[in-house]
Formats: sequence, structure tokens, C-alpha cells
Amino acid sequence: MRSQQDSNRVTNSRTTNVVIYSLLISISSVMFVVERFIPYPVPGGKWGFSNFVILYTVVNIGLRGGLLVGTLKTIIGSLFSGILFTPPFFMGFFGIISAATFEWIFSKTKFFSYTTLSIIGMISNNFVQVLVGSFLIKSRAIFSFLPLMIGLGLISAIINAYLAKKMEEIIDENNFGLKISKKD
Amino acid sequence: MKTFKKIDVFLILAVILITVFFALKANNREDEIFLVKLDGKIYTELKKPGDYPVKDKEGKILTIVHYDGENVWVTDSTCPLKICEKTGKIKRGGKIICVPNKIVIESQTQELQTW
Repeated sequence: MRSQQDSNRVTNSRTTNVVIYSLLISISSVMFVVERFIPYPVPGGKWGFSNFVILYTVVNIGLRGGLLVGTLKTIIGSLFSGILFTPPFFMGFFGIISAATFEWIFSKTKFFSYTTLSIIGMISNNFVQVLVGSFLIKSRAIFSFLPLMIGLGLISAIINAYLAKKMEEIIDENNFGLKISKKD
Repeated sequence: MKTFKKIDVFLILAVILITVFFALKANNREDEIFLVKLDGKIYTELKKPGDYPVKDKEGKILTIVHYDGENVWVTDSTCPLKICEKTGKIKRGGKIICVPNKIVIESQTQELQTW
């Protein structure tokens, strides 16, 4: 016999997915635009707080959802901040794809916590960003920024893990009458 | 999934140690000269103090580099985000990187001339 809560749930239709993904993409692209105004010691760098949505999506929905939210977040956020198809856009774009992939691979083992996944994603994101940057300028000089980026990224990785856990709690508590589908 | 596990402490400590190790490895030396590289090739060497305009193949000025004998900084640039201007003054061992114009300003050890 189905419980009261189950009968109230909307069946997981196409509309449900559209609502869930648009919610996630809008949260992360707003963070993408807003975090540019938070001071950061390295010129041209960013804290990367918008990536907590990717962490939540990859863990709770799957790789396809994470890649979708990540790519659309970068495109929409860059459109609003005016850096679409410039070198920083490509660095962020490939960085977020690698971060989502690595976070998904390690989340499958059920051994890691949010903090570990966030740190793994941060390291792969920074490394791929620097790699793409070194291809763009045809010089390896940019690799000297990598230790500083990883050191500062550690702070934002821990904050992102906390935010992703908080988001999971909020969505699970009042799940909007929706059931987030788990599919890969 | 949990937010934090005991194993994370070791991971965070390992990342901090690696970062500190690589950060301390970079040292400043006096016998280095500043190089301006455009598109991966050496464009000019900064030996005397002054302004050095960096031009592309068509003669359009991309960046103006200023050298005062001690520090190097970019005074003007055509890139949209002006990251190279915001980097400020660098000493020997520092780097200015302009990704849109593919310009790298870094210091390098002078090659010994043995002939």
C-alpha cells in the first residue's frame, strides 16, 4: 500500500526534470556572476563557489545531470558577465567538465565524503584550467600559478562541501513534491 | 553522504604540504633577466629601463611593458579583462601572463656565453 507522501509525488516526467534542472542551473549561474565581486588575491581568479551545485548534482542525480548543469552554468554565466568564447571561458568550461567527471567516478565508490570529492574536483578543475591555458598561450609559465590556486582552492572546496550538504538537506526536507530521479 | 570524515584531515594536510613545498621552491635570483614571450617565442629581452611596446605581426600595439631596472609592470593592454595590468609590479621570479594576447613576461637565468 502506498503511503500518503508517495501518492502526493508528481510522477517523474519531462516537466519535472525541466523544473529541477532549471532550478539548479539558475542557482549556479547566479553564483557564477555574483562571485566575481568577492575579492580574490590572484588577479583574474575566482573563488569558484558556484561549483557546489555541480557537486550536489553529480552525487544525487548523476554524471549526465552534472555535465548538463556544469556546461549550461558556464555558458549562461559567461553570457551575463560578458566573457563568452574568450580564453577564460574555455578554461572554465573544460575545467568543470573534468571536475564533474572525477567527482562522479569517486562518488561511485561510497567511500568518500563531500569534502574529499570537493577537493578532488577542485584539483582536477585547476589542473585542467592551467593545462588549457598553457595550450592557449603556448607556454608552460602558467603552471607556476598552480600551487597558489590549489592552496586557495582548498578553502573554497571545504566551503563548497558544506554548501552542497546544506543543499541536500534542504531539498530532502521539503522536496517540493518532486522526487529527484537517480539515473546515470 | 557525510560532509566530513576523518580521512579528509589527512587529505587536507597533504594538499597543504604539497602547496607549501612548491611555493617555497620558487626563489629569486639576481642573475636573471626578464623576457617577453609572444605566442611561445621570445619577443624581446628587457635589459635597460624603459618602455617596451609589444606589437603583433601587423604592427598593432598589443601591450606596453615598463621596466625600471628592478620591477616590471604592464602599463597598457588591449585585452578585455586587463588581468595583466591588475597583476601589478613583479620582481625576478614573478610572472605576468596575458592569455588573450598570448604574452608571457617572466625572468629566466641568463645563458652562459662560453665562446
